[in-house]
Amino acid sequence: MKLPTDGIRIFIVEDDLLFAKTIRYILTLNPDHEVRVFKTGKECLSNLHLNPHIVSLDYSLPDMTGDEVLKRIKAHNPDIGVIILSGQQDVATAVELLQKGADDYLTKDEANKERLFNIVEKLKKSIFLQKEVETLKEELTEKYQFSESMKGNSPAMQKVFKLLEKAAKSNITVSVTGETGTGKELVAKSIHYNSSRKKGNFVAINVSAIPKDLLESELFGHEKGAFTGAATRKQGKFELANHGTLFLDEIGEMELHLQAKLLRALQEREITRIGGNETVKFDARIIVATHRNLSELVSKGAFREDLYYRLLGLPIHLPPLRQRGNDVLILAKHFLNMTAKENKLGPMKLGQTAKDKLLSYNFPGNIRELKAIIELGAIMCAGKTIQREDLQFNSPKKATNFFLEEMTLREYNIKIVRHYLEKHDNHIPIVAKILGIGKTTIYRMLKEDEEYPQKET
Amino acid sequence: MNLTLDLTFLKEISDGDQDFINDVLHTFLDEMPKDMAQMNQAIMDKDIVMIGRMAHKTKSTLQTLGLFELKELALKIEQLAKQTPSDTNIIPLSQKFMGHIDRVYPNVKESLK
Ligand SMILES: Nc1ncnc2c1ncn2[C@@H]1O[C@H](COP(=O)(O)OP(=O)(O)OP(=O)(O)O)[C@@H](O)[C@H]1O
Ligand SMILES: [Mg+2]
Repeated sequence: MKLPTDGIRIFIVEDDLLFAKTIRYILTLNPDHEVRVFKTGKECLSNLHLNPHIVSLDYSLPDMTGDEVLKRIKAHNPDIGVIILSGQQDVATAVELLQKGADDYLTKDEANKERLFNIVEKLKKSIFLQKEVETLKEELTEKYQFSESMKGNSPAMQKVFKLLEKAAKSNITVSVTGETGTGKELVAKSIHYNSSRKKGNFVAINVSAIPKDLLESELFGHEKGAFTGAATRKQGKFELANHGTLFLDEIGEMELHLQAKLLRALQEREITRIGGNETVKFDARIIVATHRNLSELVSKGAFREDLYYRLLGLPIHLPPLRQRGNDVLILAKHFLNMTAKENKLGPMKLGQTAKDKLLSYNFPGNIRELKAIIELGAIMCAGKTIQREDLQFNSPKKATNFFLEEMTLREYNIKIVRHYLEKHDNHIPIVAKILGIGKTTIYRMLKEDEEYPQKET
Repeated sequence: MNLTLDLTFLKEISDGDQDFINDVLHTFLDEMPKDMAQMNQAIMDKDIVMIGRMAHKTKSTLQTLGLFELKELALKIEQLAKQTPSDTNIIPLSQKFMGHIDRVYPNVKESLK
C-alpha cells in the first residue's frame, strides 16, 4: 500500500463538540492522521479544497442533511472515503446512505478505539489500493494512448511519438510546427490528456481567428466596465486553463504589443485582467502552434526574439503527410473505419486502385484533406470497396501551368519522374509502381537527365 | 436517575490522560449550557422539532460521559418528537431533562482535577 507522504487527512463533521473531540483524540493516536473538526455541513464543504482522504460524517447536522453533504463530498471527489456516524436507532438511515455511496458506518455508542481504527484502516486500504491500481492502469494505457488518437508508423512519426511522451511527462512549454492539417491541434490535445493535468481544462485559442481588438480580453479577461461593452467581469483563457493546458494556436499572428504582454505573463506566471489592478496567479502548461516559420518572423522583426525563446521549449515538428510514406494508407483505413461506423455503412475497405491513387497524391492539405477525401469516397462508393474513381482530389494543384511551359517529351517525362521522386522521398520502387514503368527506366532517365542539362524554367 | 459520571470510556481510550479528560469536561461545561438555552427557547416556543433536535444532539455527549440513563431520556424525547409530535408529554419531559442536566454540572466540576 502506497500511503501519501504528508499524512492521512481526516475531517470530522460533528455538531457535538465533546464527541468530536473524543473521536479526534482517538484518531490522532496515530501520528499519521491529520484531523480537523467541522461543526456544520457547510464548513466541511467549504474546506474540501484541503483534500481530505476520509470524512467522518454525522448524518444529522444542524444545517444540512447527511444525504446532501455526502452527495456533495462525493461530487467533489469520489475517492474521499466517507464514514457515516449515527445513533443506534438510526442505523436504517446510515444503511441508506451506504447505498448512496458512503463507504462505511458506525453507530456512536460503538465508536470506541478498536472500531474506529478498524474502520479507518479498512478505508485507508481501499482508498490507497484503489489509487494505486488506478495509477497503474493509467501508466499501462499511457503507452497506447498516443497511438490511439494519432495514427502513424513511419520513422518520422515514431520520432514525434517519442517527443510526445517526453512532453506528457513534464510541464515544459511545447511548440508545435507543421503545415496546415498535419495535426498540430491533435498533438496539443494528446499531450494534455496524457499528462498529469488531464483533470484540468484544455483551453484553446486561435490567435488568427479572433479579431485583434478582442484578443487581449479573451486571453487576460477584463473587469466589469473596463471598456464599453464590458458589462460583467470576464475570466480570460489563462484563468480558465488553471491547472490545465493553454493552447495558443497560430501564435505567429499575434501583434507585437500583445506579444509583450504575453511575455510578461509567462515570466511572472501571473496576469492582470484588463481594467483591473489585482494580479492573478495561473498555473497552466503552455503549448503553442504555428504553420509559419517563427525564426523567420523574428528576423523580420514581426515576432519578439525573447518571446520566441521563451516559447520554443520542446519543439515538435510534424512532417507533411507526403513525407510519411505508408502512413497515408494507415490513416486512410482509420478514417474509413470511422466514417463507415459513424454512417452505419458496414465494414468497408480500400481497393488496390484506390490505394495506388492515394499513394501518388501529394496532399497539400495533409491529414485534414485525406480525411475529407476518404469521408466523401465512402459515400460515393457504390459497394463495400473504395476504388480510384470514388476518390476526388480537389485541392488546387501547384502544377496547373504544367502545359504552359514548352518542353520536349523527354523533358516532360523527367519532370514527372522528379516530381514523384520528391514526393516519395526518392523511393524509386514506389514511383516506378505509380507511373507503371520499370525501376530501370527511372534509373536510365535520371542518368540521361544528368547528361543533358535540364532546361531552365 | 443516576447522574454520576462514568469516565471508563474516556480513561480507556486515553490511557488515563487527565489533560484530555479535563479538556472534554471543560467542553461539557462550555457547550451544554448553550444547548440547554436553545432547548429552553424551543420549549417556550413549543417548537417540538427543535426540542427533538437538541435532545438528539446531547446523546453522544451523555454517552461519552457515561450518563447512560440521561441519554436514554434524551432518546425518548427525540423519538417522541419525531413519532408523535403532538404528544403533550414532550414539554414536561424536556423540562425534567433540563433539570437533570443542571444537577450534572457539579458532578462534572468534581471530576476535574
Ligand atoms: N496522426 C493522426 N491520426 C489521426 N488523425 C489525425 C492525425 N493527425 C491529424 N489528424 C486529424 O486531422 C485533422 C486535422 O488535424 P489538426 O486540426 O490537428 O491540424 P492542424 O495542424 O492544427 O491544422 P491547421 O494548421 O490547419 O490548424 C483533425 O481531424 C485531426 O483529428
Ligand atoms: Mg489547427
